[in-house]
Amino acid sequence: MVQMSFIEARNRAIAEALQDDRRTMLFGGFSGPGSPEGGFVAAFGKDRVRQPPVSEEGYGGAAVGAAMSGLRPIVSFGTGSFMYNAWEPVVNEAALMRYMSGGQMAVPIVFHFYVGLRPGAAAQHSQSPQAMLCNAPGLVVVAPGTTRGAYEVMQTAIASDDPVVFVDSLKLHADMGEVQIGEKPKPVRAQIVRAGSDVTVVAVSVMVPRALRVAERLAAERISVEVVDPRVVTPLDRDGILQSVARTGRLVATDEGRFTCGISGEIIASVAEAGYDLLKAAPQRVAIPDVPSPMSPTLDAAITPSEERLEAAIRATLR
Amino acid sequence: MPLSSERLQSLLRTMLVMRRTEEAVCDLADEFPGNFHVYIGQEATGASVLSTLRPDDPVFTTHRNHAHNAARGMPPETILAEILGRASGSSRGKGGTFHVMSAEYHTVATAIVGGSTILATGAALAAQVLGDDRIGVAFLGDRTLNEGAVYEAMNLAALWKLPVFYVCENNNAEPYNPAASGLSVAALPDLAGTFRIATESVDATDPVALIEAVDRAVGRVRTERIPFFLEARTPRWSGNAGVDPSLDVTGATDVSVAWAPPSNDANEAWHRADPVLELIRIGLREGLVDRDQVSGLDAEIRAMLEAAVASARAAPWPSSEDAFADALAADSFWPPVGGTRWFK
Repeated sequence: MVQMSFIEARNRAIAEALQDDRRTMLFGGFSGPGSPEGGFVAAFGKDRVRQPPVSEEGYGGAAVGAAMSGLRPIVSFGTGSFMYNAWEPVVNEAALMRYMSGGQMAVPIVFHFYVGLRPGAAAQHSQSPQAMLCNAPGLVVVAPGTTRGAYEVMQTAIASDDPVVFVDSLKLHADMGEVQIGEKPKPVRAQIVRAGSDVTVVAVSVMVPRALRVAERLAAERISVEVVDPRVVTPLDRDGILQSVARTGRLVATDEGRFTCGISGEIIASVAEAGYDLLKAAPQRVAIPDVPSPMSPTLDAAITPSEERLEAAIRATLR
Repeated sequence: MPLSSERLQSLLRTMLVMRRTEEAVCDLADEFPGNFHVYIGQEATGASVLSTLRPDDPVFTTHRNHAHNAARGMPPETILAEILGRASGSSRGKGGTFHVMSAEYHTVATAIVGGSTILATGAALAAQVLGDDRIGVAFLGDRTLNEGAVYEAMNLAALWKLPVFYVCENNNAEPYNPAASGLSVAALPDLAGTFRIATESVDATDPVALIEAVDRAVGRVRTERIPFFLEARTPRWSGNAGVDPSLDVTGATDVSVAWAPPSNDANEAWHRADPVLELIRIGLREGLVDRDQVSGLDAEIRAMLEAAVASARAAPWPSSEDAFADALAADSFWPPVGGTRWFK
């Protein structure tokens, strides 16, 4: 086990793939800790690490064509908002090609972007499209919330023959954790990151460390919270989540994405549908209200799915 | 004469397979749901390009893909079974007319306008990064140039010197009027030229000029590893006024019209423009083929299509479980789509 930060873990998985497989290439920026010394361009060359012009649909689409023709690209759009300009190649080409071809074609590609609220960024530079993409069949959407998950899930995403959207959060980057390096990519399922017996909190991406801190505080009151990181939001490990709810009988689902038709609502619907009898209380969700992201820090705080809101939701299931 | 007897006969065979396949689609129109688009009248362009490529060059085609697949060698019964939604179709009934494609024949059919250009540009990038000598090929229509994605792709291809061949089939070319294609330019190649991409425009009703232009273009993309934009000004079949065309207007092709044109021919303009008849006329004039050879070849291909139609009609339907396969890889790393107790 090696101690490292979330961004180091994510970049390490990328660097290892570039080192091990000449078919792997990058579009866009993945700089920062964990990238090879001098950066990805210096380590792997401009041929395999492309710094494209501001043409998300063009380079996103070219990456899809390259993935269909022998490469395994990793594409970063930066902020999730910019991926909207590449909606066509992501949801109409990459997502559908295997199905439309009756299984003949594979699009082994990773799309990456940052989601979540960012004070100062205002509405256009802080979109969170992870739930929208769960409605685009043919895509895998991953959003690990732990440092270990950043490494393992990125490793699996790169090794996967399916198009994978890696949902990242800048707020996770400094989180430290233990990472098991040097193992082969493994199948990814929901993971219990803290075991508990009173209430299950299914937390996506940045909500995982928040849920862990809330669980720690509530433990002092003898409230035992189980924190589940689904890691993959589509296809969702519904069975794994149900198994946890079967033990606790209570459910809170939380995502730093919008409330309506969001990931938290989908988790609750799935549990209510197949596990209604397991529930001792009404499930709760904690998400961003259905308004755009404001610039001012005080306004941002008013809509953030904070630890306080999460704690209140957990308490609501225990009343 | 740059066309040898062998090459002319090979082109003619390919174009007749393309033509008879599309005529079969028109005949089958009442037997499958949805809209469809045929390639009748444009065969010279597809046949010239696809016969000049290598079999492993990745080809990206569009909603008008049936004949491109036929020219690449996909058996007509596989094409027709796909269009009818049968289990023996190229996509096992999941693609239909919009998405006839084949990993074996290296064809991809995307029916989003502009999609073929961005994907072929990426295929060229793969060839560049992997250091092989494949070229990416995109078929696109004149109105595809209305899509912004095309310019992002062309800019990348020029900036990164990618070996990609953009084949723009302008079926709005007579009289030449880019405004009819929704374009405010003097000529379509100007749009690629602005990125300093090599361009050429050719009259696709002249099979000799066409094959010469295609040879030059493919040769340059292959050896110089650069993008190239070819505008092929191609006829537009009058039965092809939009989607769901019918043979009612012109009837099925009669190859003997090439040497025995009917008097008072109601379809005279089409018969003059028809690239299949024109290739036969050139072949007869230049002594590269004779009437018996043409009739014999056509009879052979019509018999093949007759069998293909019967086989496609008799092909089994996919099972309802097949709807749930192929969303993700069968040996996927990810949880099962839906989980174990949903979608049952």
